[in-house]
Amino acid sequence: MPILKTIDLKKSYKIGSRWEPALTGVDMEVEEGEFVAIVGPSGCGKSTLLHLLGGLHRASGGRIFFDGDELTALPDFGLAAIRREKIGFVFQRFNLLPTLSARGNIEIAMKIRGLPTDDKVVEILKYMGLGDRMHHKPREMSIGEQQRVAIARAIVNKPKLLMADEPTGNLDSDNSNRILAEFKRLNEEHGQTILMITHNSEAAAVASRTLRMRDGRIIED
Amino acid sequence: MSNLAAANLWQRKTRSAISIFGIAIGVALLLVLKGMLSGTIDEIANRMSNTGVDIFVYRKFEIWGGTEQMPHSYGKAIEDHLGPDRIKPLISIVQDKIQVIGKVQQENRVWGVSKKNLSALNVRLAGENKGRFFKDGSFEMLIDGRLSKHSGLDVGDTVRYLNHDWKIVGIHHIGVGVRVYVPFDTLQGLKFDRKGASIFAVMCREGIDPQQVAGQIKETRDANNEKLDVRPIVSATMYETFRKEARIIDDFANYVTIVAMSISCLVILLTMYTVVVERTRDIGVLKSLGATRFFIARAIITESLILCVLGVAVGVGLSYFAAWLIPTISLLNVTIPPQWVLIATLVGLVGGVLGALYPAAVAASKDPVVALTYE
Repeated sequence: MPILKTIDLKKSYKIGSRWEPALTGVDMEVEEGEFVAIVGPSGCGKSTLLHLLGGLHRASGGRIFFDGDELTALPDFGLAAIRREKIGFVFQRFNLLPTLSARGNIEIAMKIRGLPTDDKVVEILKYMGLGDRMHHKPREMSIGEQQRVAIARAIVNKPKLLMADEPTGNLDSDNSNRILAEFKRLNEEHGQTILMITHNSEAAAVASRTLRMRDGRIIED
Repeated sequence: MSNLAAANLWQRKTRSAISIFGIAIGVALLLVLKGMLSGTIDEIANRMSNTGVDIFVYRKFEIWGGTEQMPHSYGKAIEDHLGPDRIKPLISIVQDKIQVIGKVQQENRVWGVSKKNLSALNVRLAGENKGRFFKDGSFEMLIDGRLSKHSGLDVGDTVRYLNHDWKIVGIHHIGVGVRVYVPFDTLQGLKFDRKGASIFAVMCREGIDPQQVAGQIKETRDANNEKLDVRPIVSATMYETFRKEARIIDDFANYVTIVAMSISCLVILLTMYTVVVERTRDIGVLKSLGATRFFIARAIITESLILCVLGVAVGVGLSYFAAWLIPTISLLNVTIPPQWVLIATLVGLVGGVLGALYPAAVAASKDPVVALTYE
């Protein structure tokens, strides 16, 4: 049984007086433990799809099922609970809170979940190779380190699904390779289900499965 | 939560400091105004009470600063009506005001009292080397130690008052009656053409209730069987009486309370609204991590509460500093009523929380995707 499934998923945005379709009917499934890359040209609807699957936006039509819940039927607080308990996000621009240290950025995810902040934070920072950077603020870290903190924050609550939106988009090749290696390690060693959006074919090659999008729909699996 | 709020505030130190100062000003404004009102009334009531006088009889409609003339016949009528078994002989006082004395440009009351009555009113010299009492009929003056300090005047100096030069002959102990005493007959001659007085000071015999006597004074009639045009004020109730007289200032203080709360409210509203706009992206991040609307709103309100608590603390500190400073550089007194510290604290906190509600609601209702892509 897939952990994630969409049926005829649609999304349109109102631009001026007309509705512009972003997704025109996406049907897809992701099994637990899979590392799926979604690739496609800019504007094909990749990010929109990720936002809908992650419960950050509401669909205009169709259905999304995730780990036994129908996301498209949940109220806002239900979607917030799904994000809090079952999904971890990694963004292209890292999106760390600038006023908090690396440790604080991870702890805030635990606090939002209502978990006590304990040695787990230190463990995960060490796991990500950031043991000596835990008290540094984002501006005091390299971009590669910032993205590793973002990954640590995304996985600290052991999410069912890790979603990454162009995670290597702002990184040089060395840091990109390191981040992709981290994803692969998480997937292979811990069975972490990962859904990664990228327009980089090298990045997509790390995944175990690739979905190709164009014009708001999946054209190749 | 508080870590995040504290970290956010620390990040923008200048803005946080300005916000704290804004709230502090509101709180201090309120406390100092109330403190000056209480301190002034407190001090005057104490000084009147320290004279040992039980009842001060003024002309009707006059308040404690009144300088209206009453005929001597009033005093005689009161003495005759109450009798020597109930009251001691009345002390006649001519009350006036002096606007400038040495470096002090602040209105001070002057009592014209006969030399023998100075002791009856508990007036005593501030020390052995502080001069002597004045002579009746002279242009000599006594001032208290505090006025001496602030005016820069001492024994031997001269003061221009009522177109005459008055020689300071003594410095009297502070806290009794008024700050300036001159001979009764001299002031009476200049002000009232040697007739009447402004105040009749009544001292009751032991065991006689001043309240009852005050009631009887109101009922006293003159030779034409007309009720005396007088207003007796009992010393023991002077504080309450003054407060009633100063109700307009109290009302003003209440308006200041509203203004102070509005200032706190606006300071926090503007600060937190700016914070919400500036941290739109961070709010999106928190939402992506699963933060509820309540969590986001609480984060904003916690931040504003920290500002308010610090603002109130600084404001209370500033008020106590002002309460120390103002009496050292002027003749004003500031006594901050403890219950008003509590009220000012509540005003600061409630104003702050109210001001944070709208920004908190704006933050909580932000669309996560729009917030995450905010530049």
